[in-house]
Amino acid sequence: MSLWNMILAEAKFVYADLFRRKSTLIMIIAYPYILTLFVVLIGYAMGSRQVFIERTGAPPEVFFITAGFLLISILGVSDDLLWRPNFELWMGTLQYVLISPLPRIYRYIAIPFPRLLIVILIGATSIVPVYMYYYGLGGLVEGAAVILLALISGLFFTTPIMVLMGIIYGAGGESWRIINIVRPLLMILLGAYYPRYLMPLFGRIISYLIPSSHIVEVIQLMIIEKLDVLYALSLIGIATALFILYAPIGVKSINYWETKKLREGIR
Amino acid sequence: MFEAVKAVLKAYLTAELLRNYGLVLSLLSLALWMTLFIAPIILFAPPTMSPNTIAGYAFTAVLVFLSYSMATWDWAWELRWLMMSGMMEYILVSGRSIFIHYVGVLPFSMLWMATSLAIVYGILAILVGPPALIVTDPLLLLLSITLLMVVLFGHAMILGGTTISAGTSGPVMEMLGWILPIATGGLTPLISMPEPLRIFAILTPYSYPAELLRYSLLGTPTVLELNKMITIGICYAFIYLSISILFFKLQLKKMLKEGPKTVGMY
Repeated sequence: MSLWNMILAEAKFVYADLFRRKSTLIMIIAYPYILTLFVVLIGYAMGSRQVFIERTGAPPEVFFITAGFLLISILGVSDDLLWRPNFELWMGTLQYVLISPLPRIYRYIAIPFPRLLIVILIGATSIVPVYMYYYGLGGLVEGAAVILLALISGLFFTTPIMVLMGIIYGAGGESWRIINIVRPLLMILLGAYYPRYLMPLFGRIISYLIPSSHIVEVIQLMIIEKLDVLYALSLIGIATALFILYAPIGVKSINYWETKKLREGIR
Repeated sequence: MFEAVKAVLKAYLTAELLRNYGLVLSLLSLALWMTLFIAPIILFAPPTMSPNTIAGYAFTAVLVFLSYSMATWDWAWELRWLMMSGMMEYILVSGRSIFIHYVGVLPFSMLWMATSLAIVYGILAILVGPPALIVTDPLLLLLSITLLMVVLFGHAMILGGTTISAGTSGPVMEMLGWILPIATGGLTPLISMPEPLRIFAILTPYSYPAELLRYSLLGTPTVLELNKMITIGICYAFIYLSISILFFKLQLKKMLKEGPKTVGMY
């Protein structure tokens, strides 16, 4: 089976499930709005919209719809990668997957690609209408640019996740408990909700190691209209370099835990 | 009966809190998710506003939100969980009321909620400042917490009843868990909500305990006169609870005739 066939099979699985369970589809579309309402309503109750604009340079509705979109997009692309071994284990199919003759890495490369199309759907239903409401037709172009950057951001999140998968699953035990800590931690360090320039130094340093956080910064600079093309390109360059750097480590990491599982067996 | 309650409580305490540092790791996870959403809220605060007042508002909003989450996930989702793991049939044929199971679950979920709130209080104290919670009327505070629990138990019975009759899925529960606190004034004082949303919120039983809670903890003015708010709040909460228990019993009766639904993983 070629990689292309693997991607097609994964795509069929993802979309059949998504369109079968309409409630999931609705929830995916509604999530950026719900998260925005959650933060914005508490913010309005105790503070002011104007203060937020003075501090960040963007209207809170635009800032948080973008943050919610980025959060759901990145989780949407990489979450299945992180959870798949656990799902296989709980369903009792992990042993069959491990002994299949397919190149191991194909399975993990195939997971994110079909999900990238969902990012476009989420962007088209959240970012585009809100941006057009605030910025008119120009919002359509800006929205399209944010969606494109979110796609890159989602894709760039996959190699560090592969590195983490090897470490978490390789350590053994109840890995889902560790995953439940790693996920929100990564989301904080991504800087989508709390811009990384406001983070303490230690947080900022770790944030710089995450490829997608650089793309998030580009998006934030764009919505506050302080985008310098050269600076943005250098951030995209750093993100690309990190993404490539993590790729071989990620492959080795996954090979490590799968080999370990083959040796020890599945409990 | 006492033995059954003890067994349920012991099983949940061991499985969820003690095994593999479950308590520590779960609380850490909760603290991180809360930090993700609380940290940006600080950006709304005017420099002249006391950090303690800001933290007080955020704490009350999280308190209401977590209460809704407890009712949705610990109480209503529990029924789906029992169906998913194939235990519902055993509980039904044991001949004992399903509510006995809840007597065992309630202390555990209350303990969990209290610890979560302590964590949120700690996060706010570190990020913003210790929340300023001034209890002006302890009796009113007690009443508002009681009403909140009554309304949320009714909420859980409606969701639980729907779950056992239709096998409600995770995303539906998740949507309700987020939308209800937002739409019914759980997060924001009704007075500062847009008019149509305020009217919608006041028509639901959820808004009254939340308004009373904010009044008794933060001194936030209520949208209706206080006495009116208390009277309508009490009547509405108990009517809602009675209807929801009736609805739940009807669904349970239906399930006893038709058998539990087969549900997927999520």
